[in-house]
Amino acid sequence: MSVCIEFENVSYAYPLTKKAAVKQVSFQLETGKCYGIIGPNASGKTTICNLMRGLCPNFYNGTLKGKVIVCGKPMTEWDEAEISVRIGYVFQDPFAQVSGIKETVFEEIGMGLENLGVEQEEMMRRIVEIAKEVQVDHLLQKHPLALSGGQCQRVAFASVLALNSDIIVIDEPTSQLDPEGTEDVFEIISRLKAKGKTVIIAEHKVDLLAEYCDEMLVMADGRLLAKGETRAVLADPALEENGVQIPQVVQLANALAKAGKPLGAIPVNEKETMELLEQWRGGRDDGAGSK
Amino acid sequence: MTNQEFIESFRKYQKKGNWWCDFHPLAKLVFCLSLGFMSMIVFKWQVGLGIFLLASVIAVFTPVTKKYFTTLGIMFLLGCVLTVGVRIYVHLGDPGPVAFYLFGKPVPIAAIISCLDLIFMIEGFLGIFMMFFLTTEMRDLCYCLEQIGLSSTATFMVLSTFACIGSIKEKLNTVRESQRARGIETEGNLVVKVKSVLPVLFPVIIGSMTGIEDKTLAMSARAFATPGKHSALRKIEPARPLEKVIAGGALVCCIAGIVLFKMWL
Amino acid sequence: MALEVNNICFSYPGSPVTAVERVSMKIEKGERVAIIGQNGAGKSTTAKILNNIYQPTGGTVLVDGVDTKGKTTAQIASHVGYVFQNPNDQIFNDDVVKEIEYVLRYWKLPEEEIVRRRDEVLDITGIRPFMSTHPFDIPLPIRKFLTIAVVLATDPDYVILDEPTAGQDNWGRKQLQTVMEYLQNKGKAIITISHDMEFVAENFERVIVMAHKNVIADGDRRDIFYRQEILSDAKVKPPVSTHIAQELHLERRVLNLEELVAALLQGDA
Repeated sequence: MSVCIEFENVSYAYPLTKKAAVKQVSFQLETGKCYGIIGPNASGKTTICNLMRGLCPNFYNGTLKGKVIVCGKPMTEWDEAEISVRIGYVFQDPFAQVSGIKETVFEEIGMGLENLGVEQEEMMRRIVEIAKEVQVDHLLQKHPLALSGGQCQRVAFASVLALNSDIIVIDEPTSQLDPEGTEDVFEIISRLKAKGKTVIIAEHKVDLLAEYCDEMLVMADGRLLAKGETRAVLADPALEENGVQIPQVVQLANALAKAGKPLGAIPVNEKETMELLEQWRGGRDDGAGSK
Repeated sequence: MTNQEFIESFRKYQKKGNWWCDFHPLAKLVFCLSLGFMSMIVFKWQVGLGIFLLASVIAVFTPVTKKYFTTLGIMFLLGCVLTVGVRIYVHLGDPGPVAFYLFGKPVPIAAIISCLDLIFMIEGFLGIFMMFFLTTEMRDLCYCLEQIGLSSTATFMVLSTFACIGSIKEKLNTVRESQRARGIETEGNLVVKVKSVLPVLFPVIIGSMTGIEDKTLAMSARAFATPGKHSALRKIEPARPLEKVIAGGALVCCIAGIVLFKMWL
Repeated sequence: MALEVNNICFSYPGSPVTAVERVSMKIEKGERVAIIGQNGAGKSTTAKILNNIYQPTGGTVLVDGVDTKGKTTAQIASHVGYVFQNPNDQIFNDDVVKEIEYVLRYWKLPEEEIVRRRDEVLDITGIRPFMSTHPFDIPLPIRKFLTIAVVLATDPDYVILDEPTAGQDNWGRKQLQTVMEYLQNKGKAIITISHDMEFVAENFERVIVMAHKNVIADGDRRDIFYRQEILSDAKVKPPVSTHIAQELHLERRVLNLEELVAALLQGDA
């Protein structure tokens, strides 16, 4: 597996702040995996995303210590135009991402391609393809500002995916969406995963994140509290101690373990939980039967 | 329109189906700028009236006739009352041939002419520009400007500014709704309304400014910084010879008019 | 003392479709009520009618027995408070204290009363550390608490919270508990619109389900979350713990994790 993003002892503080938003963070992300970043508000999740994309410090200024390396090349050597194509970035607020100057979703999705100078025929082909993929093909003729939050966020995904980046960074894409919109977003994420993209998502909805991500990075107070395979990370008691929200099903497993009746494994979704619980009850029945 | 038809429509030149609306935006701009400035610089009621009539005739043959005349009508009335009132008051009792008497004081013909000059200068100027803005899409104009070398950053800023004005209005409505929900009267007579709007106007505008940061970031995620010429999904037909002739004619007419009236008459 | 709507109808100006059709509900002072349902079911519209932000095109709204017809939103605001989903829609001052005191000064309350109320809500909502920060520099989830503070300061008897848990972490959820306990102790009614079923099941005894522009169920949470035909009609999912208990066909009706664990362990005995 090749490393696509690497943080070497990275600390960063936004301008005019004394406290660092991110402190001495080191990790490596591998190509083709899906990573979830969790942690309480203001723990540095968004800053990590901004650092990966070079927005910190290139856009926000501030002081950066340590090294961010993308595809083997330090961030300082990347050109803004190049990195914007290499790393796709979807933001939190669906409505703030709409350009505001395009009158149909079709043109909105095409805007990034126009900026790249792609020929019209090729552009149209790619817009149609992407629109199908994120299921906004029925919205192509609509005005981007007349969409619901979930639809708008899907259009934002389409607009960024049209650039065909290998790495997609997504910052709390569902915090302003209803359950339906949230499911749509995660549906897109699973498609990206299937296509072999490297996906990095900062999110609050740990229940869903646990279901989709291969690995988790846990932030607490600007530090990297834990990183590793989802199941292992979620089982770490340090998470709850640091006020990190963990999935309901993991809480269930923890509570049963605490009561001296462990579930046997840490489930990451409801289906697994059900299977484990059936076994758990079955084991209990057998035990009762043998008495 | 089915999606297929919609997508196909981008292969062709963008058309509205009205000769003036489909007039090449740049040629139209030259035409209107020439006549507008002529009206302003020459400052003669005959010229102003002529340009105003020309703009009105063009407007009659476009779908925006009604909007054009109502807006212009309001401006005309406001303009008349104001300019006529002020001018006549200033010139009241001046020497020269008398047109009529007002409150026992003579109103000279020169004052009436000067009123007409001002009114029709404004009407000609406003008429031609309103007709331009009502029948031209800013994005088409920007596209054409980009074609002749204006940077895409500049056109983006122009388009965003126009979009921003609309969003401020919307934001203002939401804030007023929230003001009501908090117990501040926003309904009622003009004083109540103005009193409720004033304290929020500034923060709302500032708020829209902070939205620009988000927009800049979102645009950078769309590879806006890529060097080289941007391509375009929408296509505008290049200016036809007749359109060029009309625009050129207006320009010549403007220069000739200015020279004629300012130098000789 | 109650907030009551009878057969209200409403359609947005210029829209041919109605947003709510003949909705009726009655909320007593001191009650905690959650309105749940899909987007477009009419939840927010109903809530905005309760607050008189929208005037219904049909039906009546009674606040403590008084018809709101002909009254302005501002007149109702001191009885029914509304915390918007998006705090940015509600904030317009450049200072936290000014924001909180704005209406109180507008109402010309005595200075000591203004100071008392301001200090109280700053503590209850936990935003005192942000007192000298510009409202738009406060992180969004905490900015929501500023708008809660603003509404609490007006001391309404009925408080409507629109999606209060959206984007909140553990800190925010705890702070929200503090706010709700404070309101409960003062005998206020709390009405929430929420997609967060864990939050609803944990905190609201009474649940109103909306679908197809109307109320399709109204009752005790333990009943509602076990009426699967209602939930599927409204396209809402019960809390995870409840769902697991239902799948396992546990006899006991559970609403949260502790209850589920207890039920599972009890089955063990």
